[in-house]
Amino acid sequence: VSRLETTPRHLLREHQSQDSDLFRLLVDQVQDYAIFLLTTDGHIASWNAGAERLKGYVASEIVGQSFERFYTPEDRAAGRPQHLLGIARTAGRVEDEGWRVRKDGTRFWADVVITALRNDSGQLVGFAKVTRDLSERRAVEAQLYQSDARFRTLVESIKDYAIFLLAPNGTVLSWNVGAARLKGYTEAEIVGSSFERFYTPEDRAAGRPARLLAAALAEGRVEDEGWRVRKDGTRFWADVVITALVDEGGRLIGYAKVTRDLTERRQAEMDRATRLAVERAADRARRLQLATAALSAVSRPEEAAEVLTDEGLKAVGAAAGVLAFPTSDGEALEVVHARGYEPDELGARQIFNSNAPNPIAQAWRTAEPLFVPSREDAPEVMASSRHAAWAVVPMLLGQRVVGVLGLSFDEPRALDEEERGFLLALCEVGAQALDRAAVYDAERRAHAEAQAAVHAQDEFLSIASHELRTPVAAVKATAQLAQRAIQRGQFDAARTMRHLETIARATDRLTALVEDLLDVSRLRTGQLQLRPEVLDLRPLVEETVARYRATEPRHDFRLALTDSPAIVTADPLRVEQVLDNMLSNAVKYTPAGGQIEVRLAAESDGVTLTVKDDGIGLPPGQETRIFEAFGRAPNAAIHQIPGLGLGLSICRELIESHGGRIWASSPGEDQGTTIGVWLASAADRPG
Amino acid sequence: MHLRSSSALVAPQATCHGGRHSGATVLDVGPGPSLPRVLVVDDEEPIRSTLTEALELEGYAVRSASNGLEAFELMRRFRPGAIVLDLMMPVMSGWEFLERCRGDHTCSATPVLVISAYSKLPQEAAKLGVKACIAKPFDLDVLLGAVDRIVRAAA
Repeated sequence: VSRLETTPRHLLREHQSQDSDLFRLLVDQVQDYAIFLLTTDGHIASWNAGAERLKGYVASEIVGQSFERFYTPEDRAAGRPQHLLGIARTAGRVEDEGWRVRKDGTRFWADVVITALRNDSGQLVGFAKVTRDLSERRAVEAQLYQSDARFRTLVESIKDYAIFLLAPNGTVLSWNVGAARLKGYTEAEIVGSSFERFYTPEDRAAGRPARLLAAALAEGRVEDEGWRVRKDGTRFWADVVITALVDEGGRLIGYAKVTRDLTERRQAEMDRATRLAVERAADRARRLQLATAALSAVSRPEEAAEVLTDEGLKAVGAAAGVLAFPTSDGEALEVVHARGYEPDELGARQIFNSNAPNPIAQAWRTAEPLFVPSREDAPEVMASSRHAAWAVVPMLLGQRVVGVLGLSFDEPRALDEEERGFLLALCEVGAQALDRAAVYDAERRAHAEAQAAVHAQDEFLSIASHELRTPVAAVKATAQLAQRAIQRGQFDAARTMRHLETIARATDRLTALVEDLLDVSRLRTGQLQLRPEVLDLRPLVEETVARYRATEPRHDFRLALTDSPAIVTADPLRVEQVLDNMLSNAVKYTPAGGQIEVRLAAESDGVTLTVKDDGIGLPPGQETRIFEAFGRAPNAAIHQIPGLGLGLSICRELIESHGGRIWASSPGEDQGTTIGVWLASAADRPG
Repeated sequence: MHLRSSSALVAPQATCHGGRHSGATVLDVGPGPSLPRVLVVDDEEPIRSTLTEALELEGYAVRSASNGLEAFELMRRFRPGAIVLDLMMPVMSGWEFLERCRGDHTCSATPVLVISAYSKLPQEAAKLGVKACIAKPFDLDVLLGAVDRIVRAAA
């Protein structure tokens, strides 16, 4: 371009100075450019080879003619040639591109530069005109133009997309059919307006349009989805792509904006979402129904806990689940059912108190559901758990938390509305079920207890009547026997004495039984009076054992007495009653006879008395039961050993009211029993 | 009341032929082939001794045992014509003794009279499969009468 601009002036100067034929020759010989001079009124003053080649004229036929003949009739009619000269006159130079006409009438696409020529005093002396044939270039450009036109046609005819250009400031520069259809504006209405009018007032207020352009500029491209406004004010859901258009130098020249109406697709998606929601709701309802059915079948709270945990687990796909009930004192939580946890992590019967730093305790404290989607959301609460997420829902009956359902996940997990809703509903049903189960349970337990009480009373009456009838039978039979002997004249003093002794012994036994029953009654009502005195247990033990040796020949009584005095403060009658009971038990529960070992040991703080037999022993776990009123070991009944089950309970009451202890031990059935009594030494007992 | 109702527990097949052995013969004579033999089984010593003496006064040859096991061992040696049996006894109960006797041909034919202070004896009586049941405390006359009937019926 610079060559075209400068060369003619230089050549002209040469021409003007008339001193360089060389330059004239050069100009004349230039083939690629038509270079010639015009007079101030536009007549041709010179001609060169390039001009001849380009325009078809020879110098003789064209010099002196007006340069207007090179222009198309349209240009001439429009006064274009003079217009160009005018510009060159005032501006010094004009460049033009356009159709020119050859001698033969054909046209060529020319690049023309006209330069005003002035003398040294500045007077206009003429014009230099340099013309170049750009037809070839033009042909390429025409092609380009055509493709551009094709592209334009394409863009303009697209109905489904609004495709238009924006100036860097967001002014709409172009419009297509799609845009007109989509947005309702005609091209005339919208070109020149800001694209902001397509946005909702909220978006505009929030600066969304400008933000999108800025993002497109920064990233080259931005995609957005949202509500847009039509001319008539209605809205549509649009998918928008804005592309920044920059020139080769990286300068922003505008934006291309492609907008698509997704309203229908969105509607379809929403329909699908609605359908999914309906399906999920139906599924939830079905699951709840199943859970409710399962829960209605349970009669124990523990079974309800199992159903609730499993249903909760399944519904949200949790890795592990736990259900805890408040303890009866309401001070702590006890795990009733746990599934999926490590044994050392969470397990049934585990108890934790209300301020334990774990999700279950927290939900219990607050009586609010707790959803922890990830450890970061509640690091303190999650510290004690190895899981990544928790969902914990308390089961409420009014204000009272009757249980807490906890579900844990291996991965971070945010439950959606649906899932939360399900868990809340499940726990609501669960609370009712737990309540009902608890009532059933209490009723059943009360019923069982009542039955057990009736059974125990029945049993007691049965045993008591048997125990009482037996000595009565002896009294009556012996008395009648004595009568018969006398009636038959077989009276014999020795025989009668023996009968009377039998009657007396049976009567003693009856008295003892009645005393036992009365003791139980007195002990229960706190009416038993102790008459404690300081005494040495050794003579008492010795005398009692001697009595047994005399009356129980089938048993071998061994006695081991401490050498030092065994001084206690106790009611001697009651201590004797206890020892008597221990010995009679030893005899009774060693029905086939055997060895009975009585040991009295004195230690620094107290005295220990033990009676060990090698009788029927105790089944495991019966060591405390036999001290309960009417409590007898099951093997006593199996062996048909009579007894009310009162003796040892009376002994325990008596010993404990002396501040002592009594216990039983046995290696097992048929391996003997040891009953031990400990009483504090008199010296150790204040007062 | 139980005393009276106890006589009603005597099984129908235990028919009474009346009459008693004279007391005079009983005192002098020990267990022998000519005397009807009765086995008394009871864990209560006073009952055992009183019944033994009363039956001996009636002319029976009597042996006693304090539980089912002792009684079973006496069965072969003594071969009683009737058994007076208590139910609730240690070592081997009256129920177990009856069970064992049913499976033994030398014992199964021996008639049994049950005496017991067991409160559910009336309900139990039919199941025992014995000649008669008498509740404790019993009337000595009723008991001796029942033994007499059983022994005669078996003879």
